[in-house]
Amino acid sequence: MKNRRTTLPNTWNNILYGIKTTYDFSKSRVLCSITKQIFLYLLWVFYSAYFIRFVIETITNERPLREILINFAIIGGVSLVLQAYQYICDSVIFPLQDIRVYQKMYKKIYRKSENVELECFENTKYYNKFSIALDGIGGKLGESIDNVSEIIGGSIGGVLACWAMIQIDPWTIIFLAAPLIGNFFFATKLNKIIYSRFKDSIPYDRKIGYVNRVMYLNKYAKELRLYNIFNVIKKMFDDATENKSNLWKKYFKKASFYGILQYIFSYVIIFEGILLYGSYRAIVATDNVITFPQMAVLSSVMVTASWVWVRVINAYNRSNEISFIMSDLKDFLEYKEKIPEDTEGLSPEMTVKSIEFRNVSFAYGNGKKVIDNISFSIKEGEKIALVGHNGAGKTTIIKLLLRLYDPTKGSILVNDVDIRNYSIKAYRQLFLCAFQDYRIFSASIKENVLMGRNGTDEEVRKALTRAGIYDKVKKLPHDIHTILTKEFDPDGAIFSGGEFQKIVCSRVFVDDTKVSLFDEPSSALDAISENELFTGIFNSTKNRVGIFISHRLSSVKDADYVFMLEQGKVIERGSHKQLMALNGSYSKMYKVQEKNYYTYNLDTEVAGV
Amino acid sequence: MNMRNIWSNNIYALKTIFGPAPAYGVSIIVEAIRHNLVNFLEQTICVFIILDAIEHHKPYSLVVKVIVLFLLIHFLAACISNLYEQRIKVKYLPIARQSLKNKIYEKAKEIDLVNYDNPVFYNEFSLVISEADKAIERAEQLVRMFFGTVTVLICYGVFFCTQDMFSVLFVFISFIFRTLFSNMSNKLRYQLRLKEVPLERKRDYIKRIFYLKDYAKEIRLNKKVTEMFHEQFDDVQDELYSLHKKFALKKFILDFTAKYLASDFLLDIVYVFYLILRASVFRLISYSQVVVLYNSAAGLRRGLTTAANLGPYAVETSLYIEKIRNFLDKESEIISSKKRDLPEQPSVLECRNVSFGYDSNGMILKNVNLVINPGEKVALVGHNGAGKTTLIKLILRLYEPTDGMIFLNGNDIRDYNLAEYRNYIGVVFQDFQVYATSIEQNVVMDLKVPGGEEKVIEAVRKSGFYEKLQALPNGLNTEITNEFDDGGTELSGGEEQKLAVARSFYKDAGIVLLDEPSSALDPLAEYEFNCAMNKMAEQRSVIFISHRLSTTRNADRIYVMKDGCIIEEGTHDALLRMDGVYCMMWNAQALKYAN
Repeated sequence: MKNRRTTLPNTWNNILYGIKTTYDFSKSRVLCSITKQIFLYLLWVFYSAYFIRFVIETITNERPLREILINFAIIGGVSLVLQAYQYICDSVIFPLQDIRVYQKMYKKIYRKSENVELECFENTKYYNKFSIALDGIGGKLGESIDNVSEIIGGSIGGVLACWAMIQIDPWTIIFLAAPLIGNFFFATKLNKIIYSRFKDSIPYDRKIGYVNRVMYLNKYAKELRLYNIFNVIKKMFDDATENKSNLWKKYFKKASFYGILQYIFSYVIIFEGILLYGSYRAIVATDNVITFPQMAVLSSVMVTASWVWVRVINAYNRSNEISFIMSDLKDFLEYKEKIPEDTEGLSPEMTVKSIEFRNVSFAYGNGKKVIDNISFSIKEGEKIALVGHNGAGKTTIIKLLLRLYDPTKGSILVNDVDIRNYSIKAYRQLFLCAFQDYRIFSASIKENVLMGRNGTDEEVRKALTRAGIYDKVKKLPHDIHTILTKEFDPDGAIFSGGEFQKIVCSRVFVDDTKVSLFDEPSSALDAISENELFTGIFNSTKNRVGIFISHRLSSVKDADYVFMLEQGKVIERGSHKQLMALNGSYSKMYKVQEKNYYTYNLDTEVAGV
Repeated sequence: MNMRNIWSNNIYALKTIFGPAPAYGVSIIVEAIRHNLVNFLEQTICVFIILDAIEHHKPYSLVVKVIVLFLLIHFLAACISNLYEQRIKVKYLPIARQSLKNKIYEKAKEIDLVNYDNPVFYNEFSLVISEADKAIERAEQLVRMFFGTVTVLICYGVFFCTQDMFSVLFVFISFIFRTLFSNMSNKLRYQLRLKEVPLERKRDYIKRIFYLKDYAKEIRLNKKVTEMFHEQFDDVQDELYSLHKKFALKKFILDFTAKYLASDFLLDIVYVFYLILRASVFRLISYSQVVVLYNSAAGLRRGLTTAANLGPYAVETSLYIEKIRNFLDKESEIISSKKRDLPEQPSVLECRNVSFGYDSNGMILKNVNLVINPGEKVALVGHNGAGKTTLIKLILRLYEPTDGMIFLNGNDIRDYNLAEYRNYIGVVFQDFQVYATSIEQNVVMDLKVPGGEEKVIEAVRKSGFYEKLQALPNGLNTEITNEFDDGGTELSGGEEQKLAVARSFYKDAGIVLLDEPSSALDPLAEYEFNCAMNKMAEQRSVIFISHRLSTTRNADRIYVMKDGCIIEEGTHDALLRMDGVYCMMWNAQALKYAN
């Protein structure tokens, strides 16, 4: 935050951006805010400067009662109206308009977040900015308007207050310098010290936050009871607290110095000074005498003037913070996508007849190559398995095929056309996927299976049956229309991890013409379910391309081709038989798994007998 | 919520500060009094004396003396304020927080695990822990508000009484009306909030879909799925809009009356009119009195605002505290009743007719009978959700059976000292955790045990982690995870698993429960894990939970579970001959490896 450019034009550009954006969403929010603040400050200054004078003059000049009443009625009436306006703004207009602004702002943000390429979510720098923009923005647009309004209103009020002081005695203005110095200079120094102390406390706060999480998150609960790890955690907490507590020592002397000086300059000098000076002019001086009424006004307006200017300065300081948030928002909304999700292009044919990877390489932003010069081709109806250690690049290949990333080198062709020429929306329709890190939405089972696509109830039921989960769904009160998860529906269905996995697999079974992609579909399933699933996978239409990743090599056997990956390269390829004959890495992996089901003598022992 | 409750809860809140850090509590009081007293003295007394001096032509030296006095007062005030902000608060606030948190943490680790499965309880629990600091904040605010109000009321009250008794009447009326309408306004706000919360929850859920990276992939692969959520978002916002619209007029009237009519209007317009009458028409007060009374009304008005908020604030605080106290008062069912000593020799573990369920129509385990003799290897197999993991938790006494009993060495396990019993049984879960501390502490799972380093290394060796350990710069003292250090040592999934296994080797328990990991591991890593498991199984009683079946072949006895019951029991060969469920499962997996 310290390295940000806090130049004046930058700050004001960002704030203006915030104001313009809000104005587009709701004119009334902006205009009402500004007018409300102007009225408020005018009233404030009026009361402390002019009203007092009016009251005293009324008393000293002995106006008739009737006139006093009329004047009060007018003043009272105007105040009532202006204040009513303020409360209408606060109770009615602002809350309602903030809802509308929120709605429009977030629609824009959501559309953008849908449109950027997947890598943005994996790129911490962009993602952090994004989360900050998204999280903070809710109330911040309103805040930024109110902040600017405060500066405008406060400045007008402040100027009027100063003018009232000058009218009495121009020299009194000098005393206003004190609170300004107090806030601009000493307060800033004090804030720097406090900020340093805050930075010192951050590592301790992190520990305290971690301890908090360990104590309440479900995942640690078992081990806290089975072991004595609590002793370790508690010590971490106690140590961090002690260290945080002792931070006062390091900063006390300096903070005291600036703190006391800030107090004196901001509050004491102006008040005591003006009283001293004013009473001198009232009691001792023989020329330019200040009268009693003037002194009365002076004593109240000087307080107001210093408060108003302090508020303006505080608002101005806050505008820095707001500027950063607006800048993040702007960066986020104006980001140029590398692969915009709404890319137009050719419409692919309805079915995939061929897939080809030509010298494809891929590395993330930081340069580490995940895929290294891979080439292969897949024809209509073939079933392909990708195997290899974790981190070998299997999932990345699928993501490249889906055009969630673009290769750094080489090209990918589907139906002999480079996929970068296709409209992304149409292209993605060719595939149905079941990933290991799937998400279930808080919606009906049918909606979770169709995921926005068209489909009949029957098709959904058939797909659920193929995945081996319809037996359970049938028993639910609303069949496929039952809502999943209890997020919004107390009658929502909770499934086990394996059961959710089957629902996710149903997404792929619902349309037999699309390419099916499975990434570790059976990790949480038991043996029989796994078997059913893979039978279901291989029983799909002959014409359908299927690619899957699995550690269960027994299911890989029936694939037409197996690609064995290691460190981003295809090191072995062929059918299961061919690879076993090769006696290489694949063969070794397979034998290791298989060994568990056999005794050591492979020649004579056959499974199960 | 009755008065007694509110009162008792607020006292409890105050104790959270005054208990562990009385100096802090006292300093809050002093600071609150100081702030309001100095303001009063300066803006009312000081100004009054000076205006009076001018009106009645008193000597200038008087003014100078008064000003000098106030300079001293201010200097003292600045020192007090500074002492509070920069020393006392910084020193004691963490301590106050620590004291409350420690109470909560001690309780958190004691409550029965079964409570975590109850979403109502868990939500409250998360709230209590995440908002414990707020309780302290509220206590501080409460003290400040109370003493501030009392100071203001006393100062201004006395002042008004000495200057003009009637003024007190205005103040009193203002206070009454203000409080009355404020209460109504707060009740209205509360109703609004109740209706808002579920809508905001929905809105936040939708927000998460668009901004968490977990959903990013699904959204891109299923382009139309978000349409549904865009619609829902618009609906929620529209509902919020109508909701606020419904409440708007009432809110305006109540707020306007409470904060303006009963307060500003009364004291600025009506009261001043009264002052003018008294001064010019009735000539009962001097002009400087008028000015000062007018200014004081403003000061008093601010004080009354705080006073009016005190009540509602105390009620809200009471709600917070109530949650905390409910949590701290929660009793555990799982306790040690007789504190019997654990057996010295390896013993028989037996489950007799054990049943478990959260409620009567959702029994997870039904009448389970199981025996494991010293040195035996027993396997539990079955579908997901068959109850295997639940049975393990029952054996560990993390849950209490709804029916039936578990025996160790012929004695009810409830008779044993709980901590010692849990220490007697080792376990390796699939969802183990690693902690942001040293490797040694991650194995020992306690603060450093003196003279135990060789034992730790031995355990690490057996689990297969030793190779990785040697590669680490600080060996056993290496801090793992990047929780506190972005460049911290991160272990891979397989390495973490070996570390977790080392815990059980270190514990060296007579009975070990092994919950097989699901396949986050590739075949080679899986194989290495199985080797470590086999090593663990030497010379110990072991219960395996498995659905890979590759590990169950060599078990002395296999229990097949389905829907919470044990349906088949026997050795691998015996079960295959039975040609039942086990045989079917085995064939489903193993047959595929046949050529």
